[in-house]
Amino acid sequence: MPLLKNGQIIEDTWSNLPESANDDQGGAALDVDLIVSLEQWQSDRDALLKRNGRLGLRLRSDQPPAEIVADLEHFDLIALDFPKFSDGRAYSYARLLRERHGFRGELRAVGNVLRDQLFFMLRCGFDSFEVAGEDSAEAWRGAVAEMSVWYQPTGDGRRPSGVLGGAFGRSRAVAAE
Amino acid sequence: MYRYDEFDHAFVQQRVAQFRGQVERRLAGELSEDEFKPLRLMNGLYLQLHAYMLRVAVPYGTLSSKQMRRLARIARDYDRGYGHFTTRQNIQYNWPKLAEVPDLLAELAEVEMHAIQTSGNCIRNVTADHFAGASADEIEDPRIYAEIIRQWSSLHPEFSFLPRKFKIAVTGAPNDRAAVRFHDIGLQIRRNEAGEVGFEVIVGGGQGRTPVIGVTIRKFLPKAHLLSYLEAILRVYNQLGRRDNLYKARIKILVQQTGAEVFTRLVEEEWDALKNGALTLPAEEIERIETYFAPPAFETLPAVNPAFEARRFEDRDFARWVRSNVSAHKADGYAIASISLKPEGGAPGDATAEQMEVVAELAEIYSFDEILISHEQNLVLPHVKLSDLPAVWDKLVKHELATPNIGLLTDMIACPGLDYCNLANARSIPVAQRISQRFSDLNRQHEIGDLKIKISGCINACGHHHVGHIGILGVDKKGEEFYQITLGGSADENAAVGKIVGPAFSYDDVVDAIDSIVATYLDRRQEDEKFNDTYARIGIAPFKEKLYAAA
Amino acid sequence: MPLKAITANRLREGDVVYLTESGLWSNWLNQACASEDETVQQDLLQRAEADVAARKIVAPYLIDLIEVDGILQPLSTRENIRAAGPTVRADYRNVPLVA
Repeated sequence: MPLLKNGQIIEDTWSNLPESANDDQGGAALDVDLIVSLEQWQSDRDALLKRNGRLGLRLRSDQPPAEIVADLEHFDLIALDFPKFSDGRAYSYARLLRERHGFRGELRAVGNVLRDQLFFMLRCGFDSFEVAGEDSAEAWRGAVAEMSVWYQPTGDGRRPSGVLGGAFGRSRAVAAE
Repeated sequence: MYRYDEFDHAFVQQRVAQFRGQVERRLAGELSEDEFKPLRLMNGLYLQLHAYMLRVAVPYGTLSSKQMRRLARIARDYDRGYGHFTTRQNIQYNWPKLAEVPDLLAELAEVEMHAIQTSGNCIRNVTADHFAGASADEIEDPRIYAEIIRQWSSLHPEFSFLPRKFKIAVTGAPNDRAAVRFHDIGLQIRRNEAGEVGFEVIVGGGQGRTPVIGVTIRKFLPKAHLLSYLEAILRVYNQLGRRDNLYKARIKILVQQTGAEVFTRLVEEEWDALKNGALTLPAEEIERIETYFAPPAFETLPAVNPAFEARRFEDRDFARWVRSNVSAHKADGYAIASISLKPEGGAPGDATAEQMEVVAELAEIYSFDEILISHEQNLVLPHVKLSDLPAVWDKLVKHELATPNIGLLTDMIACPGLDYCNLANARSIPVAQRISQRFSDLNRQHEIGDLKIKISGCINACGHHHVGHIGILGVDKKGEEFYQITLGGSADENAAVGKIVGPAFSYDDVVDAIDSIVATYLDRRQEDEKFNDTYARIGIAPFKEKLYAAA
Repeated sequence: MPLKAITANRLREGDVVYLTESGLWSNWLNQACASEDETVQQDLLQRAEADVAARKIVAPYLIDLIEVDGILQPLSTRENIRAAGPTVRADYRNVPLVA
């Protein structure tokens, strides 16, 4: 799958650990950047932590990140799955990871990721996107540029319009103090 | 009235351009119907029984004359000369062409209107009391907060793909005209013991196939925390609402299945984390929005106007209209005039382009340029001087807009039903038309008094049948239209869900059945007793006996 | 097999149309190509799907008909209303949007 990051289609340096893999980690080299499922993390935690490569975690839309908050420090990437574009749970998960649990690594949207949702995903804190091949990077950049006005403060730090614009500015100022 | 700032203008214009691009991609074949459908729905565009249907939001039901004229022009230029006002303070056009919808939306944007979030699994157009800003019983104008919620909910990045649609209503008066106990979230403006104004928060009400009366999860929410509290509720719902079954996906089912207490605790925990953050409303921002809804410059007038009284004394028709369609205003010498869109034999909620223009003109001359839409599918001129009421009435009469039946039997809510809707099982509007013809005697209607009949063409209950004093639900029985009748529902502060009276009636028999129910009520009521009070006192049995006696 | 024809909505305009013998789409049910032969019906449906791909129409499906004195009529109330327009007011009845 092409990977979209910073408005560019780039090569994905991460690998998924196959579901069938057992304790030899599917033969993955120890220095490869590896994305594992929650189940794999829970059953192979110690072995995975001994690797040299970076570790990523993939969560299904029925696996709220609350379950792994204590382990966040071990992950450089979290991939949140959209099994269907209409399953919007991961928007909340993304904001919670970024805004409440302080996750600073790569937050990747995977699954049914469509161009017309990119704007929402960015605002919720996603910064990379596994996308289907049809649309060009230019089309994706265009989708993000379609709206320049929004009303909601989120963790992306951009000032909203409307009644929360002023409040947002102040709360940022307070937080910076 | 709220006026767009430069950002609001940019927002709707960008949204129009975005949709124009999406329509182009659809027509060019870059998007399939499956891919395009959610995009058009987010812009209020359905594919209905006969054609596309566009649902335009009338935020909190308030229109200026200019906006109403534009709605009329759109009806004429893009449609077949009429529009349909809905139970959620929206207007629907039944025949727009897909290729022309972007232009139509651009025309709306020019007058600060749009169709954003009138469909889809997102936060829908926020509704409010249709007497907002005018009624004597109001603590504060609910539209201040409806506007604040409109901003916060517009293209919310986290809540645009909820398990199901989400409806919020706000009322500022103890007499609930906004049905706040039948919304996903109902907000009732309250004053606490310290005299501060805030909100009672009601969650999990709704109609559809599982009618539920909402539960209060917070008795008093200070204004500053309105949005953080709403965000907490929506965040809990977005994560935990059911997504495996369309019919169990509304928040009412989540509240029922987790239990109101646990649900409240989850919301309060989430709110603890959000409270006092970026969503806190500054008092000066609330005041800024409040100024948009500041009362117009009412003249100081005596409470009684001799010319008005004289006309009422001389003209029985005028007097009858005043009795049913005119309500008390908070300012002396003014009145609230309701315009019925339920003429005898008409389609409830339909208005022609000419009628919209007449109402626009009347509002401009006599009502400070303001029109309200009621969830009962009528129009309201909120601020009319008593001395102007005769002139207003004369004009309304000329355009079939003066039916004196507000709150009476023929002021029925009816969904579009099988005449327009893809989901319907049976027709609604023709049933309403036949009932209005059967009860066309206005004196008899006034004698019967307040009586709410509500008709839905399918179990989705867009016609609010569950909360009608008499509810009518269209069902399909082996290809034939049948109608199930419920009694005792109510959408106001005495919220109640109606009970099924017995076996359904055929299309031909349903009007006789209503006649029989009304006859039982008239026969058994004591003095000025309301229908639901009689029903509560005597129970369902007497109605049933008479209804099914002949069979 | 009962008598059936194909109906759909035109993509650009949205109006109700019926597939005719010549492969065009008409606003008038009586011009529809109706058949009792299942093979023909499936063939019609395939032609309709091709026109979905060609972006002429959306949402095609078969409807049940009866023929009375040479006039095609839908069996269901729903399809009768689709064919003739809303029953609620004479002036709301269908007029062709596309000649």
